[in-house]
Amino acid sequence: MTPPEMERPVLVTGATGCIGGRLVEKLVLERAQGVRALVRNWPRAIRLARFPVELRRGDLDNPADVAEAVKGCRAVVHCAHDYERPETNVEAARALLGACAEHGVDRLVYVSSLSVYEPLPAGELDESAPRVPCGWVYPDNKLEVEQLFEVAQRDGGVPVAIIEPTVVYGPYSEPWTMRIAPYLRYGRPVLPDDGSGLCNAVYVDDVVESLIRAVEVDAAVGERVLVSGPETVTWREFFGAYERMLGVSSVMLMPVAEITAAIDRGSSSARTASSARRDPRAFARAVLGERAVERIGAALGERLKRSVSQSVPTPLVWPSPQELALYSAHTAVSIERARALLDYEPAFSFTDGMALTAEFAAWAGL
Amino acid sequence: MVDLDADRAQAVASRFGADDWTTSVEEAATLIDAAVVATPPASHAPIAVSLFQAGIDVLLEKPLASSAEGARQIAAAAAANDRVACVGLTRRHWHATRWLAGFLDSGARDEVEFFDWREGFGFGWPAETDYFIRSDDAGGGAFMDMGSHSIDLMLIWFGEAARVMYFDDNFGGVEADCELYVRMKSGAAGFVELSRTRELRNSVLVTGRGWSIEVPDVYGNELRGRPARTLRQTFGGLRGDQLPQQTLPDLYVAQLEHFADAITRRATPEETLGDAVASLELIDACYRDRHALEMSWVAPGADAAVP
Repeated sequence: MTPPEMERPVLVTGATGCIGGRLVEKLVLERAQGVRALVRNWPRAIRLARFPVELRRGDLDNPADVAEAVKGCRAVVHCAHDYERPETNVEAARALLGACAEHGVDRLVYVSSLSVYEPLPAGELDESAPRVPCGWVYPDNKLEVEQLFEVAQRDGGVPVAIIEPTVVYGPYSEPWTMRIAPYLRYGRPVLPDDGSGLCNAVYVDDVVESLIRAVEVDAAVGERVLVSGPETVTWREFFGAYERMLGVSSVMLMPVAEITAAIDRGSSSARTASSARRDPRAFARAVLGERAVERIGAALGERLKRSVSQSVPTPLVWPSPQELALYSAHTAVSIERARALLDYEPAFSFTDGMALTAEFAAWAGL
Repeated sequence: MVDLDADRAQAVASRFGADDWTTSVEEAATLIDAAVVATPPASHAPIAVSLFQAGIDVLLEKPLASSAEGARQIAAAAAANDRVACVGLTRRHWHATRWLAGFLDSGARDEVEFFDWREGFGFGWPAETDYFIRSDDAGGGAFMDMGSHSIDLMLIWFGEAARVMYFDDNFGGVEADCELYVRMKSGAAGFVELSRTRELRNSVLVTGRGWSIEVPDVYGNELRGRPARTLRQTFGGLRGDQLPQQTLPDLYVAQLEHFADAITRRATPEETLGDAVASLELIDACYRDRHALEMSWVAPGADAAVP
């Protein structure tokens, strides 16, 4: 018999993305939990529609849309993040807080990020580490929203729990799976020094499990909790797992000073525009240039992969300054608070998580 | 112009210079001779039946209906009222489609050993409503939407199916990805993969005894064949290696011309609908006996997870 509280749905924002999408899947398949999802446009809901979920169309920065979506829900898990319009993330947070307070939602879980601690300090890092604006858009935006939620929690309006995932990889992870594959296939990603910087990788299912616990466990209220995998790997190992998956050998190691000089010379322009990151062909055009792609001419389309590798020198993919700092950091994230408060224990070793990611990648044609 | 939204009906009518607009099919039926119905699939049967009864000939957007039962109702009502029923299966009008059908009809169908059919892209249709992801409106997901084209062509090209095994990723909604393994009555084996989430190669490979033919782009008008002489044959006035150019808009023109021609010669539903009813019967049968597509990353450690 379904417990009464499960009959009220959980609202998931960002449900068309990696973490939100997987959260919906696990809530429906494993928890028999009713789910409502707020989506910006219908075509993006094509994967969500595989499940018996309640879909609502609306914009997170529209308070009326948000209030209507929140009404009747027992909890809200806020996974959405707008990379293109960072200012709207603050508006969305305000709208959610207002709606949750108005409708008496039992729990608001915010999916923040390890990024709020960037640039990462060396050594072990836990939730007591300082969080200060660093000048990079994403970390500062996440921090601003985090602090908005913390103030609301302290003011007693809404029971908020904040989860800070580390490097989330796995099916549909835009930054750490979907984007990495074309980088490695069409380019040569540059890593600093010997690639021994530490990657605190976490398989998406572990993050989702922590979110579900943050909805259920009262001890999560008013807390910020870092969530990572069971072990750290080096960034060389992280990229190496994808190289083996794709059957390529693309990573280039280079001293930090050389990378910095190259970035200063403007080589970063050889990287891709954000709009190209979602599309391997667009990526190829961005890194190779339109003229090079035109030379490939009729070979474009399904034969692009083979043609590119045969016809054009492979371009270097330089890290951004933020990525360079991340790849250089020797930081090991502690998950002791997650263990203590959420009874969280990551279930996916790096090997197991990458094995599932490889099966997905083969199916998705990455 | 008919739309439930009066403002939209008026705006579209004005844009295309139509004299009349209304929010009622019944009212429209008093003003017209023929209708094009492009509403969500579940509404096709009731709308078409009412139009046939009012003496109107109808061209329906694909799929013909959201179920085989709806398709049979449409065909029966058209026949009973002596009306023309056409369906917007535009890909029937590629020269490549027609040539391949002619080639297979000439005796090659029994030589087909295997066909491999993959269609997929990230769904991005700029839909204003969510009908296409609602099973009660659309009748299904990728298999119903994309399969109404491909299964129709599969039956036109390779004949009736003898056995099917169907897999999809529907967990209680509508599927985004599906696979069909099929054995045709001719003996040919086939595999059809359709996706609304992934870029597949969007082609059909047909292997026969001593020849092979590829439709390299299901959204284009090209054929490739080995040995080369295979395509040098002429069927329906078309030579396989010299197909006249066609674009996607040409298909819509051809579709409307086909509708007008059917009206002129009072074509029967058997002639115009062809395999559209049979393809929906096959789709229905697959849905009734579906298997879960294995996706280890969705249900780790389990063979399948379907409620």
